[in-house]
Amino acid sequence: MSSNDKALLEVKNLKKYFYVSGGVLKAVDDVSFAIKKGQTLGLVGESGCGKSTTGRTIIGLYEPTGGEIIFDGEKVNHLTYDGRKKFARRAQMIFQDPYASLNPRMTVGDIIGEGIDIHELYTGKERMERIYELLDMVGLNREHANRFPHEFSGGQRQRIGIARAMAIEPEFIIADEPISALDVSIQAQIVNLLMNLQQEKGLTYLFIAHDLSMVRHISDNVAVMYLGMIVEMTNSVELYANPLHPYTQALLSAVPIPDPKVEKKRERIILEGDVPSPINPPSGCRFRTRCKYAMDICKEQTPSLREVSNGHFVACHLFS
Amino acid sequence: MIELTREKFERVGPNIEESQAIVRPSMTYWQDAWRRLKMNKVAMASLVFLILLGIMAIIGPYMLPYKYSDQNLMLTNRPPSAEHWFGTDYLGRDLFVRTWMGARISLTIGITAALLDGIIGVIYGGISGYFGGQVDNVMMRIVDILYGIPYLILVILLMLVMGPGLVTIITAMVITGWVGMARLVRGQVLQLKEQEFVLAAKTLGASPGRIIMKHLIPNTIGPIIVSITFDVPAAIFTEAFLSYIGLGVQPPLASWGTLANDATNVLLLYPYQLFFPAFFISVTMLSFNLLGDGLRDALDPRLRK
Repeated sequence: MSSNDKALLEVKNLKKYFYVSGGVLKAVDDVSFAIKKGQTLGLVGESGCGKSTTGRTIIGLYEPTGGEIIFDGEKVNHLTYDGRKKFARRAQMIFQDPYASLNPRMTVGDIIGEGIDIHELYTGKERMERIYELLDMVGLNREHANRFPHEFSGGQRQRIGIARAMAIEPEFIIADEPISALDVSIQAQIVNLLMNLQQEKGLTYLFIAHDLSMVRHISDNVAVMYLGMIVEMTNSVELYANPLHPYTQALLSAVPIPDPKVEKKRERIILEGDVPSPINPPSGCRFRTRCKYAMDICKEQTPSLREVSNGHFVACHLFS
Repeated sequence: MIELTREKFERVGPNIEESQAIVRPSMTYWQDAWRRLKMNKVAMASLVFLILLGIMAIIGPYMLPYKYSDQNLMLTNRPPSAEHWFGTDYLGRDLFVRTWMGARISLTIGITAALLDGIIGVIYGGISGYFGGQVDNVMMRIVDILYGIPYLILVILLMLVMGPGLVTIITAMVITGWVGMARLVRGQVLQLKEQEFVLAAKTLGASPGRIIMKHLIPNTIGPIIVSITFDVPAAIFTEAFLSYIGLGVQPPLASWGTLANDATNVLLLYPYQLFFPAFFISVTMLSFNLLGDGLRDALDPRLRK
C-alpha cells in the first residue's frame, strides 16, 4: 500500500511452486501485499487460485519457493524450529473445515489449551481458568470444556477453532475461509465474533474467502487473486464501487443484489471456459483466455500490478 | 370461559444457556467403544472364552498332580478317565496338563509376537509416514525387500543359527511380521498428517514428537489394536504349523502344535488325542478373529452412534 503507516505483515514477491508429475504447479506466483496493524485484508478468488496456499505459506506450513515474508520488521520465512515457535505466538490461523480441524480424540478443553501447553503459559488451575475465559469469549459454555468435538455443531466447532487460535494471544490471524463450510445464518455470527475480537484485541486479519459480500463486510482492503496472482487490490469501498480488472467485474456481477427491480435489469458477465490448469498457465496475462478485452500484448507480456489511482492497484494492460 | 389477561402471562424469551446445553452424557472414546463392543454378543462371547483360556493357561497345569514332563510308561495312551481327564499320550504323560501347558506356550508366542510386531511396526510406520518424501521412500523399499523373503527359509536359517526354541520362533515371526503393521500405520499417518487439526497443531508451534504422540497415534490406535488382535491367531497358527513339522518348541515342552503332531502318529488307534489340541487351536483362532471383527466395529469412529 502507498501509505506511510508501518505494515505489520509484508509479503514480497511470494512464490510457492509444487513439483508434481507433469510439471511445476505454480500455486502462488509473485504475490506482494502488506497489511497494516489492526486492519483486515480480504483475499478473494475462485477455488484453486492459490488463496489458501498463500495463507499457509505465510504461516509457515509450506516453505516458500521464493520471495520474502516480513512480520513486524523481521523475516519469518525459512525459520528454525525455535524461531517458528516464537512466530507462532504472534500469528495464528483459523481453518476452513470445522469438522476436520479439531482432533476427535481430544476434549475441547485440551484442544483450546494446546497452545497454552506448547508455550507453557499457564498450568493447573490457571490453565483451566484461561480455558473457561476463552470459552466465554467465543460464546460457549464452561461445561463444554469436557466434551468431545463430535458433540458440537459446525458453528460451535468453528468457535472452538477460534478459541484455540486466541489462546496464545496472537496479534495476527489468518482466517482461511472460516465461514465457507457453515450455514448462512451461522456465517454472520462467526464474522461478527471475528470483528468483535478484532476491535477488542486490536487484531490484524488476513481474511481468505470466496464470498464477496462477506469480504466487503469485514475487510478494509481487498485483493483479488486469479491463478496464483493478484489481479486487483484496493480498499473495499473502491473495489465494489469501481472494479477495474475484467475478472473483478465478472466476479462482482455474480453477487446477487437484494432488490428485485435492480436484479431484473442487471446484466451478468458470464465468463467463458474454465480456469486453465495452473500447471501450464497461459502465457502473458493468465486471464486472457477468458477475457473479452484480450489484445495481442496480453499474450506476450504479463501485466504487472500498478497503481492506477490513489491506492487502487490493478494488473491489466487496459490500464497501462 | 377463562379470561386471558396480559398479567397472566410472563415473558420467557429464549434461554441461551439451555439451548447451548448438550444432553447426552460425555463419553470418552474408550467408554464409547466399550459400550458398542458390549452390544456385540459374538465378540463378547469370544472375549469371555479368551479370558477363561488365559486363566486356564495359568492354573490348568496345577489342577492335576502331574508335571507336564512326568512320564509313566505303565499308563501309555489311556483314554480320558477320572485320573487323567484328557487321557495320556504315548509316553504316559497327562494330556490335560500338557494341553494347558501348550496353551501357555501358544498364547505366549502369539501375544508376544503380535505385540512386538505392533511396537516395531508403529514406530517404523509412524516415522516413515510423518517425515514422508525420501525418508519414506527408502524405509518402504526396505519393507518391500523384507516382505519378499520366503518365510520358511528364514525360519530354518534362524534355527540353524540360534538353535530351536521359543525365542527363535518369536524372532523369526517378528522379523517378517512387523512389515504389515508398518504399512498400515504409515498409510494412516500419511492420511492424517494433512488433516487440518494436525496443521493447526503445527501452527501452534507443536514439536514433531508432540504431533505424533498427541495427534497421530491416538487417531490410529483403533486400527492398530484390531490389527494386533488379528496378528495373535496368525502367530499361534504359525507356531502350531512350525511345531507340527518339527521346527517348533522341543520336547518335553509342549505347544498345541507339538501335541497335534504327537497325536497324528497314533491317530488311527487313539483319535481322541488329536481332538483336544485341534479343538483349542480352532476355537482360539476363531475367538480372536471374531473379537477382532467386533473391535473393528467398536473402534471405528465412523460407526459411532
